[in-house]
Amino acid sequence: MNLERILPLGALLLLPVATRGVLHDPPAPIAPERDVATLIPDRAVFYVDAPGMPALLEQGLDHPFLKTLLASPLGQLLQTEMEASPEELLAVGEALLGAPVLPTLASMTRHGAALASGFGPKGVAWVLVLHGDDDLIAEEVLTKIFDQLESQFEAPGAFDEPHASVRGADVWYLGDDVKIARRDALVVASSDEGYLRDVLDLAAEPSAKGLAGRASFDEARETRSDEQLLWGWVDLKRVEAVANWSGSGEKMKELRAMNGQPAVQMLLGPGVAALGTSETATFWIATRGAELELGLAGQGVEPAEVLMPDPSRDAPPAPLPHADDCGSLLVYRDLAGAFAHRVDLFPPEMLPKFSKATTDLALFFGGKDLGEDVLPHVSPWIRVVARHPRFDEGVVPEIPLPAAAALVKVDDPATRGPELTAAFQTLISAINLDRAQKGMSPFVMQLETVDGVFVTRAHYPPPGPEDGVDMIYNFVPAAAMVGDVFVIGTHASVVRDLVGEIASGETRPVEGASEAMWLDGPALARVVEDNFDALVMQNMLDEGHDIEAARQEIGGLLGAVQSLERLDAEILYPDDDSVEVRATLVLHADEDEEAVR
Amino acid sequence: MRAGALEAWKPRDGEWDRAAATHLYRRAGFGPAPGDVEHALDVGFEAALEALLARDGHDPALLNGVKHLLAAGSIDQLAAWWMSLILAGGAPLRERVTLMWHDHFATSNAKVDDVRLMHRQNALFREHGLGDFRELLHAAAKDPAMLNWLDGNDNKRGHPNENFAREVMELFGLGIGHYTETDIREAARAFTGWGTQGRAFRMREADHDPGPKTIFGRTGDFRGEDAIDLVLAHPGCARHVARRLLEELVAPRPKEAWIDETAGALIELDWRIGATVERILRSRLFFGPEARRARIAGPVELVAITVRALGARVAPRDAAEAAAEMGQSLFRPPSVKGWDGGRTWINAGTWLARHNALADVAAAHRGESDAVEVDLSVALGAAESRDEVAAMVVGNLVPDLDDPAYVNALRAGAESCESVDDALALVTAAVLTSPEYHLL
Amino acid sequence: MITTRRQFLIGGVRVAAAVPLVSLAGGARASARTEGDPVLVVLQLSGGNDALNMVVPHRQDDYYRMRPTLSLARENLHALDDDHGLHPDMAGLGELYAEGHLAVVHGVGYPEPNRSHFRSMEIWHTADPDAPPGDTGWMGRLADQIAVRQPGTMAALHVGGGDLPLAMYGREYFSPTVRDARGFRLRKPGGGFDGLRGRLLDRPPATGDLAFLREAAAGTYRAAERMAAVAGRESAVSYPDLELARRLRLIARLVAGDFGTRVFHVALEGFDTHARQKATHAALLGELSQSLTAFQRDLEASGAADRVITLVFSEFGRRVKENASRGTDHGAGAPVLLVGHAVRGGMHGTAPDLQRLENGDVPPTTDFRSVYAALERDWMRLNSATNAASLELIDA
Repeated sequence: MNLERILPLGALLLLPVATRGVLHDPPAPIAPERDVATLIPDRAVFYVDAPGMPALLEQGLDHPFLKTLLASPLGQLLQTEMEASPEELLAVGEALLGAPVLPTLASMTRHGAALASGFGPKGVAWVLVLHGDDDLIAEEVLTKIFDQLESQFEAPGAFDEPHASVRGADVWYLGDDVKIARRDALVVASSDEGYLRDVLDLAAEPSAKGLAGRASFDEARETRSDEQLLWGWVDLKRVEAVANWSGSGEKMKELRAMNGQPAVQMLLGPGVAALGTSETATFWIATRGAELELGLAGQGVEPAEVLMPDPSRDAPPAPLPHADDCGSLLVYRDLAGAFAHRVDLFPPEMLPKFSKATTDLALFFGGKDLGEDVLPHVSPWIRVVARHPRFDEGVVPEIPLPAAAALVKVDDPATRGPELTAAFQTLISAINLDRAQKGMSPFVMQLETVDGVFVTRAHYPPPGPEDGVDMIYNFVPAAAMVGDVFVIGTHASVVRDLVGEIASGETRPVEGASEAMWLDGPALARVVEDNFDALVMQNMLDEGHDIEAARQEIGGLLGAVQSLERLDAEILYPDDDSVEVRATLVLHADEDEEAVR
Repeated sequence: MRAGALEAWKPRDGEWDRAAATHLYRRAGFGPAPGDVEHALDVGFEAALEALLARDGHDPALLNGVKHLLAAGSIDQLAAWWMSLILAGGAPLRERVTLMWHDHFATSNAKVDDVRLMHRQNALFREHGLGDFRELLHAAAKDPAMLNWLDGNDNKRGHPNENFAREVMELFGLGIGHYTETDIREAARAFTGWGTQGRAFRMREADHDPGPKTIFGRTGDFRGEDAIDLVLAHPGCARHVARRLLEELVAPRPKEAWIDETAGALIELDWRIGATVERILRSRLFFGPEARRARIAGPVELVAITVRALGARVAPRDAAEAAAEMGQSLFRPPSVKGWDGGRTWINAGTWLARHNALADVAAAHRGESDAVEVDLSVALGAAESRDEVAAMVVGNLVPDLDDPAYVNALRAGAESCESVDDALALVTAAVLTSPEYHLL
Repeated sequence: MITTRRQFLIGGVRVAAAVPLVSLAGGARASARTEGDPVLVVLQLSGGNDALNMVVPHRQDDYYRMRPTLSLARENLHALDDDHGLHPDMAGLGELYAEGHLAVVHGVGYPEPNRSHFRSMEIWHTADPDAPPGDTGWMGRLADQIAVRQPGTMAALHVGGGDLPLAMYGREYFSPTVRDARGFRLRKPGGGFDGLRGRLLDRPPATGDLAFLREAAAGTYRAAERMAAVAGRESAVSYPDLELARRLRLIARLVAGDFGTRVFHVALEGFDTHARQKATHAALLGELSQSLTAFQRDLEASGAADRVITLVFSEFGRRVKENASRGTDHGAGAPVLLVGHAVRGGMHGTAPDLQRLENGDVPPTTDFRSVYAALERDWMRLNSATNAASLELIDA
């Protein structure tokens, strides 16, 4: 053993170790095209980034969606709430930064911006990563912010020098709560030192994957696209584990229990119910012109298979657009399946409700068993159409409301027709019995034919001169079997129209049905308009306002609804274990204004 | 003949004080708003009383706006609407009297189940409540809500409904003891044929029993209207009404001498309720010791007086609900006897409700209430030190309480507070929830 | 005619209006001694419990013959005596029977059984099948007596939602309803309020209405403070996550905390199983057994098990033969259960003989009033609402 040779060799070997904390090769600059998600520690459970942010920032208030929003009554309302116009706010920001706000922010987020959160030693931790395109701008901005802080906390010079250096980045500590770091054009802020260091470590390793390396994150990113203003991801499984452990698991338990609740399954449907079981969830906001899209998706869901939509079952036809339309929805509700498999699907304490429902409804179906004899013959695809009815009997209710009608396909109309019609008649009789016991007039049933189809309807006798026109006059229930479609609705005028449309084939056939809905903005606005005075009075009584303030509030509500042109929503199943809910809001773009410009 | 209790009160120096003015506003209306008492003391008793009697105009938007609510059919909303009229104070005496008739001709929506009818009855009391009692009794007896409530609908020849006749005599017109069972049966026959069609009164001749009836010793082919006229002609009727007015304005269990005098005044004034009430409000009796702090405040008046006195902002809906939780749900009296009042307002649950609602109002001064907004210094005064707070609050809220120990206890409590504001909130809360405040 | 009482809601408490304060008036002294006084809990199964599938006469072949789909296999039952077993989901009550703390009284009902839910429940509540219903109930009449003996306490309490049951209407005393422990909370604006409030009340005696109000206020504050103190305590035993269990836990806390209430009413709904009975009934009986067992164990842990008896009853039983919808229809006589250390455990009354049915029903062989009489006289040591002779159900 030659000690003289070993020692220098050993020293050479030890050199990197010895100098590690003291002298480190400065890390390579971060590649501009680097995915910002690779800079986020993989223990994050929540992540949000803004793919379309730079474009939004470039356009500023010229962004088409923002422009339409601000011009609309809803936008006016929001601005009055805010007490300062967007221009004013931008001017304030400019004074602060010494440079125009939007281009500055655009530069600082050019190559990515993300906010993430996770669990740290002190509880929930957050970290913000901004990957810009200009070192100097980043430096300037931080300096300006630090100057502000120094003058606010009366600690001049406190931030002149960085407090530490980590992996080549300058780090400043703002008390115990926030740490800020900058390397080149990368700015990182966090409430947790560990997270900050992790980000800087990831930034220093060009091939590091960070959060993007997690399979559940990567797969979920299929819902992300570059035009989205915001895209987020949550690791529900991990959140649940920590919530249970820390004793605040109530909300999570409720979420997870949604799938097993008959009420949720029947009202919101199997897709939404299944969302509660997702392992991870993503959400996003995107704009296209005057449209706003909102999305929510769950991955790794465990739906109640039996209740999931089956496109091979028949869906009722879709009526052509009608001037009085308020909206329409198509849902899949396999009530027969729910009944048949209830022991497996739902917890024991829910079961008495099924017994009760069977007992109660057997009355309407002539003693037949709801679960076995009736439901299996009705297709689970149910379409509901909402339209303003025509109050053509001359009796207009003081509070007019839209009417709704449901359409379902049945097998064997020759049997189902009489069965369901009889059930409708029994329902009206039961209502009449109840009204008789209270000394009120009954509904009068009539049979009429529309295009050769029998329509059963019931109307309430017209009010006397002193009686006023109560809410009940919104209801002229009617039902009919047209072809193999059963139609039942709250107002006969709508049912008649639909019967006519279906009988004459003025409908759109539906293939590959999916659960979807749409709402017509102007039709909704009409409901508010029709009932403006009543809403004002109610506001006065419920909020204690005087009439002026109440009129303003309800006026604001009306404006907000009038800003909406249309709302569409759909439930999609991209693959076996994911569910997506997409909603699109279209703002009312005032064409006259455009023309004047 | 003006002698005795109803002799006009001529206050000597110092007698028209805070206590007297507060007493007037609380009994003849729903209490003073901030500044009312000071103004009353400035202008003197006569002018203040005249002004109170003249204040008889509700905000039309509020009064007429009710028509938009009726179709929705919510009795809670109607109760909130009535409470909004009370809180606004546009016509204090009229609303006071409306509430009195609501209790006297007690009809509950629990059975009537029709908001339009309940509103119509309420409007009847509002319009005719200060007018001729004879017209009021006729109209109230034919009111569809009332007929519904007392099964007056079911009154047919051969099957007369004694319920209706009994209540007309016992509760509305005469009081217990001035009639025999025969009078009731015969009166029931007179009322046969009365009923409703939809929401309107309808007389069905075919159901009417046309033969002779003997009521109070008089015989004739009496119809329903005649039966009511006979009740009005009975000497007990004026006394019954007089008793009611005295119970409302003066004290429970009024003396016979007062009743005699008031009944005489009522007849002298041609059965006009408004004029009779004015006579009472001007009287020595009204401002005398027997009338002061003479009864336990009911929920609606307690809530209204408190909210108005403190200048608090409360949604009428919340105020009506608070009164309901204390045991008085507008449009839903427990029975045809109305609310018995007095000590029956109080039990473990209702005292808790009173305590919690009033403590909430005081806590709102520090922003700790969801339903109420108030700045106590506006109504009660801006005290400069904690020491002044107790006397100031007591002088405003319980002005005719002469109890140094009470004030001292409050002063000690105020001392222990950190600021004048805290003291104000604490002392107000303590006063509002103390039994002394609940005596009207 | 219109009811003469109104009920309204305050937070979680419903109290009848227009009531003289019998329970709070009568002397400024604190509540009379109540520790050691017997407590009665009445647990109502609403809808008509199919008791034949609860206490199963498994030796009788007719049981299996008349209930092809609903009958329960002998080997799954929890043995009571040689001839009877408890439903498989009632393990807890099976244990209590083995320990001698569960009594089964067979065939309880009244002559000329009425199959209307409303009417039959009315009879059980008023303890008077013959006269038209009055407006008081048997438990309310007990409360009247207790309120006189123990002014300043809440003699009876209805735990749960919904209206006050007719059984609890007394002539003088009106029972509050408490939905959960958070009812009856007193609002205290700021520090120093309690002291100041106390000082304002504690002054030289007044007369008339002022004195009455002071007494009312003081009584209310006492009750609220005690409810808050007692209801907030931890239980030694863990209860299942079921609504009935939560209500019984509140009762256990009030008993253990000497709140003073001696009569409680609580209900479990959903027993009207005309169709598809099996799973539903099993779930309900499971909830009953688990909750009641936890309740009993809690009382044992806090040393109160000697002074609480729980009566479990339903307005009628159900028919022996199952119907075409795999359920059962309204019947007549059925067993009631009594749980408690002071109960003479075991079987009482005449066990049902399925060969001797009346109109297809188990006939009532024990009048329910004799069960009530035992509880009223022998247990609560108060006057009975009826003249019936009491059954020997209590171990004195």
